[in-house]
Amino acid sequence: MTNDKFIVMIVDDDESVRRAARRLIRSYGFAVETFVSADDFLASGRLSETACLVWMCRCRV
Amino acid sequence: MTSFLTGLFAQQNFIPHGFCLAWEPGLLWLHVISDSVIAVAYYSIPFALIYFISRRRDLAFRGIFALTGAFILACGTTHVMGVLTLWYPAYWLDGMIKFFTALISIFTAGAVWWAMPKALALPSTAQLEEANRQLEYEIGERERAQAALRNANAELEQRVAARTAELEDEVAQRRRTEETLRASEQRWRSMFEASAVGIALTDENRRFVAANEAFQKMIGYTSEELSNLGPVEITYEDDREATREMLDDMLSSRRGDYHVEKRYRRKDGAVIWVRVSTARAPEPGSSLHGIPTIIEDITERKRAEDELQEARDALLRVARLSTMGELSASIAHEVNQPLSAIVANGIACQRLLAAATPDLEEAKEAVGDIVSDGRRASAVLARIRQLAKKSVPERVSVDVNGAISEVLSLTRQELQRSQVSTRTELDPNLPSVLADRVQVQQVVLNLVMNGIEAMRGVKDRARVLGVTSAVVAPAAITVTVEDTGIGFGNNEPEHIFETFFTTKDDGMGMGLSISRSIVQAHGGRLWAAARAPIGAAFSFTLPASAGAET
Repeated sequence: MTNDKFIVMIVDDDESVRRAARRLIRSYGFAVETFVSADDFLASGRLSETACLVWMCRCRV
Repeated sequence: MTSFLTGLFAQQNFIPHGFCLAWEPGLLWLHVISDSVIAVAYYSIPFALIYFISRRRDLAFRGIFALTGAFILACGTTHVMGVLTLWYPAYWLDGMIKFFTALISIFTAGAVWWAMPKALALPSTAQLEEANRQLEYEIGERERAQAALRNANAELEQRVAARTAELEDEVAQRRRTEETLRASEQRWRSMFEASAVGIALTDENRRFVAANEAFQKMIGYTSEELSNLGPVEITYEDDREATREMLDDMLSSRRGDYHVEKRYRRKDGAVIWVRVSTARAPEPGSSLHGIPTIIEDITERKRAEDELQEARDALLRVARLSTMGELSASIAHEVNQPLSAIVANGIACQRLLAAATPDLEEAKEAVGDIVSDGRRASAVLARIRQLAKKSVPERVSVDVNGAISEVLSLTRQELQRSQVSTRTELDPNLPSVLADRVQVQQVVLNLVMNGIEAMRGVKDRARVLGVTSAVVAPAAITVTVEDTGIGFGNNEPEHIFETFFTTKDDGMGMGLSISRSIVQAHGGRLWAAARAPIGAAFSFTLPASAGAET
């Protein structure tokens, strides 16, 4: 049921939000990776594998 | 008789004495002249004696002088007879005269011997001279003594005059003093009677011995009624014990004065607030008895203070709500986070359970997360409610680090939104303080929001908000909130605590002045300082144990 080609990346600073989001998306059969911050995500070197990015921070620029 | 006298002078047959001398003319004349001279001399002596006696009335032994005079007179007469008998042989007469002379002489001799001891007892001339000298000396002494006495007398009179003058001065002085005292007494009495504040005197039996008009009016009792009452009896029931202790202290001289605010119960039952000031109790043995007390009715002031306090509390709450309004987005996010997680977990759970082979283990975990997120959301709401609710300020033991953390979590979103990173150094050994928790959080919140605001325009450097807590003195803590913002510019750091002073475009300028009043009400201090190299630092202290009155 797991679609390994499809990895959903989740970036959120709140741990419980990350856990809930991962659980929900996994229940749809997608692989999920979570990151605390955008820096973490960018430093992970997994940008090329990313099929979908869920960025839940609301930052004022 | 005639025959006797004739016999006496008769020549009879006797031979004149001259015959015996053979009428030898030389011898005759020798006898005649010698006897005559003796007789003249002898006769002269008694006259001299009589003259002497007549002139010296004080003479002793006048009788003996008289006898001697008579004796010498008689002797003289015998010599006259000696001349007479030379020619006339009147030997009987001669013999009779001799006999008479013998009698007088023997009396005189006896008298002389009889008077001898007395005569000897008479002082001699030397003795008299000595006595005289003695007397003169005594007189001299007496004169000297009299002179000394006169001097002493003069001196005494001088002294009496001086003392009299002194006494007159003293009397005048005393009269002046009495007049001054009377004037003073009158002045004080009129002050006592006309005073707008109550004045009362309490004796050692804890009864009022004097109460002025103002006090009688204040308490509703007459002077007569008050004489049967004391400070304890007219005090409001809850304050009586303290009043009793105060009186004990005053009467036993443990304390010299007292200034307290307390309540009285008037005769009509109404409760009034008074400020009581008692002066030092007179020393034991002083003529001043009792404790003088000045009583001021402060009921109106107390009411105004209470109203002011209520207004202040309301203002604090309004300011808090206003700050929270600025934070509404952040707070909403803080509540929204766990709610989003709950919704996500709920949907995931539904899907997990609806699957052909339900993953019960994962579903269980999801439910566990839902519970803890629900609790988290509830806790956030509780904190917000506490900050927003209208509550009476209280004094409880507050963990300042915990209070700071809650404020930082409420402002987390705001900090993030403003791209401010936080650096916290909270001393784990921080002692708790006796304070109103909400008000302490309000101060921290104000300082954090202020810091964020100060860094709003900063583009060329990191926006860092530092929050530090530390123990400063054995009994105080300090909290510092610093930023890397615009600082104070040319303004004095102290200037920014003025009400309505603001550098913000949309600020009211009340946050810092409110924060300072909160800290001061807790017995602490809030101040600002420029931070090197840039920015500002705000610090406040709070006493670790008991706080000051609100």
